[in-house]
Amino acid sequence: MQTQSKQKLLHAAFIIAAMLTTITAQAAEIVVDQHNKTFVVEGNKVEAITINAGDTLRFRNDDPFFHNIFSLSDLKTFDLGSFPKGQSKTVTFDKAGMAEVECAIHPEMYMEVTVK
Amino acid sequence: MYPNDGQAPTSAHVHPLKKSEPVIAKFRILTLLLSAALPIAPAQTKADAEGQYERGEKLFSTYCVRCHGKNADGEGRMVKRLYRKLKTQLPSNFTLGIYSDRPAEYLHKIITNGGENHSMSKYMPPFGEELSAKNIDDLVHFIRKTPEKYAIDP
Ligand code: HEC
Ligand SMILES: [Cu+2]
Repeated sequence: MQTQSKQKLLHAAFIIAAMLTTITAQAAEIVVDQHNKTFVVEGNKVEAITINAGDTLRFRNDDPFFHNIFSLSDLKTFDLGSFPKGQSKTVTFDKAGMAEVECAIHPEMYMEVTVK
Repeated sequence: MYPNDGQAPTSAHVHPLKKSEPVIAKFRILTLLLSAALPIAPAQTKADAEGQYERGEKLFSTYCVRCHGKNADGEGRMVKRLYRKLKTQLPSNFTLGIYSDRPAEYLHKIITNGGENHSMSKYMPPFGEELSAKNIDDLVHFIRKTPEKYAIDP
């Protein structure tokens, strides 16, 4: 009886440890939709987003027209080119800091990415 | 005008000789004066032509400046920060004399469909969904008039 509960405890501890390592070791991928010329994360319109260093943003075009996501920030300078509905492209942020993300077709599109 | 449809004329990447610029400039002033005296082309209504340069300029300063520059000279903020680093084809400099001779339909096509669809840089985005055909006409007019403006005002 005693050994059995001990075993259970050990088992639980092992699972928790495993979960922790996946959280810390495995960087997340966050989907950022382009919807109605805005940036949308999990259904909510965002103008700023905070992620951890090493995380990847997947820019997914959910509009029936082209978007062209880019950033001129020192932290991360990139241009994903123009892509149509349904397509997505990823950017990984390795360093901490702030990046401004824009769209080359729609001047009103803007989002700040804070990397911790 | 271009039988190889979809193919940009190769001269797009050739810069005209600097030496020939003043001659072109003088010629341009003459054409400008002449065209001002001529009646407006029949295909275009008076309302369309009126203020077309200004409309084109306004659209340009909203949608195109970040790449093509606020003086339309191809020195937008994206150039220094990104395209030079990427060593990719730079945005066109519309103050060059060659742009007043570019066929309107060619310019219209590139602005509508983007560079990639015309064997040019994929960083020239397609604006056909964002802007109306009339907006793009205004932009084409602006681009073709830009070399003249720069020739007159040195
Ligand atoms: C995100 C950057 C970017 C934006 C925004 C942009 N362009 Fe461009 N454009 C380019 C690049 C780069 C080229 C050069 C393509 C090449 O030579 O391969 C180009 C080329 C062109 C050309 C081809 C001219 C030639 O050299 O024959 C035209 C016309 C043009 N752009 C018009 C526009 C207009 C009008 C706008 C605004 C509505 C605009 N562009 C916005 C990057 C941009
Ligand atoms: Cu966009």
